[in-house]
Amino acid sequence: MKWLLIGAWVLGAALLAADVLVAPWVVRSEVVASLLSPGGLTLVRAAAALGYVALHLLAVFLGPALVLGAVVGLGVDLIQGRVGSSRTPSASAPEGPG
Amino acid sequence: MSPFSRRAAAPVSAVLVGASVALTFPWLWGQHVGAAWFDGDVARADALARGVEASLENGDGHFQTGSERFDGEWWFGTFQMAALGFGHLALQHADHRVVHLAQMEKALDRLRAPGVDGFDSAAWGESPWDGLAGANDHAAFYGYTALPYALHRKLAPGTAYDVVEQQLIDALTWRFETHGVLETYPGERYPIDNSAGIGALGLHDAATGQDHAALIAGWGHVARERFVDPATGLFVQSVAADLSVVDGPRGSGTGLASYFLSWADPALSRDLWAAQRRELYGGGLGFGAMREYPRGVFGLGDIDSGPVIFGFGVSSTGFALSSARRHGDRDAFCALYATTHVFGAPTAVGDATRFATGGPIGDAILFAMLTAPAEGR
Repeated sequence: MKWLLIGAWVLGAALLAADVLVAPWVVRSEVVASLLSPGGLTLVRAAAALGYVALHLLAVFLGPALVLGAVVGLGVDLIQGRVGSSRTPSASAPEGPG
Repeated sequence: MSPFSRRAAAPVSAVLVGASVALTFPWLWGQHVGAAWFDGDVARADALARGVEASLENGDGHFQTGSERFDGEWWFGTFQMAALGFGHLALQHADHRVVHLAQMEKALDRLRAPGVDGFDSAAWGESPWDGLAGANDHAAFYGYTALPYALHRKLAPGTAYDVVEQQLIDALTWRFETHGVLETYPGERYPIDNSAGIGALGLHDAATGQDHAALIAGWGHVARERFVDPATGLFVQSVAADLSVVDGPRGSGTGLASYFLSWADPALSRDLWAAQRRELYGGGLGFGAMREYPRGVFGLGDIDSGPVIFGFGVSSTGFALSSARRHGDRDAFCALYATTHVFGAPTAVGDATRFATGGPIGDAILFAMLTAPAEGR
């Protein structure tokens, strides 16, 4: 479970980072705007535009959700681990004299 | 706690928090930024102004819509909206007025650059600049150009720009007095384009003290009688020579007309905003948007509306931002902006802001709409 949560965190962070890194290129190339101005639109530009829109929406809606959800999940997992590890010795501890 | 409950606690809490964040964070953040725009955040406005200025300087704005007329309209519209946006900032931020006036003048100069009037010249068979004293209406070209020129005259009277402004106002005045409702192109009459000219007359009066009140009131009376759809209160998109409806009520036309008219006929502008809010506004989960067509009317997107997605229009939503701010509707503005923020993707490029999905005309339109001053400014 821990690795699944870490994977979710990495995926969320990667989505957010990719969105931030790609956006300036999208601005300069006007690749999404060209969807509304289709005279110069090629298949590659259309695919790039739709790909960016999909990436951006995934980053907006899922990026923070994956990062924060994973952090909370890992936090709960960590707390349970500490509680568990603090209980285990006492549960199996030999009884003292008397 | 059972072993199963203990094993499930981490993933269940991760999913619950993740779902809560997905359902709330995007619109909460969007509305937070929207509130900053509504309150006149100078830093955000200046950054977008720099983005729009850069796109003008880079010569951006050549479009390939597949129609030479629409390419030209968008090129022209980019400069017009940019000029209005810079003017709005000059009007509201006195300490930055010199900078914004200089930016505005660049955009006004581009409006007069050779070729920018090509879409209008091709339709009328004459350049609008050569036809100022002629009989052809050129309603859109004169109205849309006169509006930022009149705003400039209100901000900085006594410059060379006043000469051009006065020529445009005289041309519009004579045409409204003679023709009533003006043609954008031969045989084509659009209430929204007429609204731009009426708005320019209102701004001109505010700038110079001249009086077009009777003309504005007369046009407003005709507009309420013939352009306002009785069922919805929205503006119809186009009319015939006898003012019968050609294209019915639309969100894009009503949204921009409401902004234009706010400079001349605030009561009609407010009524149009109230109709948009009542008939077109919708959304959910903290996002707001405007329909392009009234409820129950199906229509596809066109060059005016932009894409129409589940009935909601890109243009109608963007244009509505201006009236929401003009008429002090904070809730609608913030919800509309949240949608704009998510789908527009504002992006920092150096010290400037551009909307990643908007292109030059999208940046310029949003710049003008987001910075429209509160009514009475």
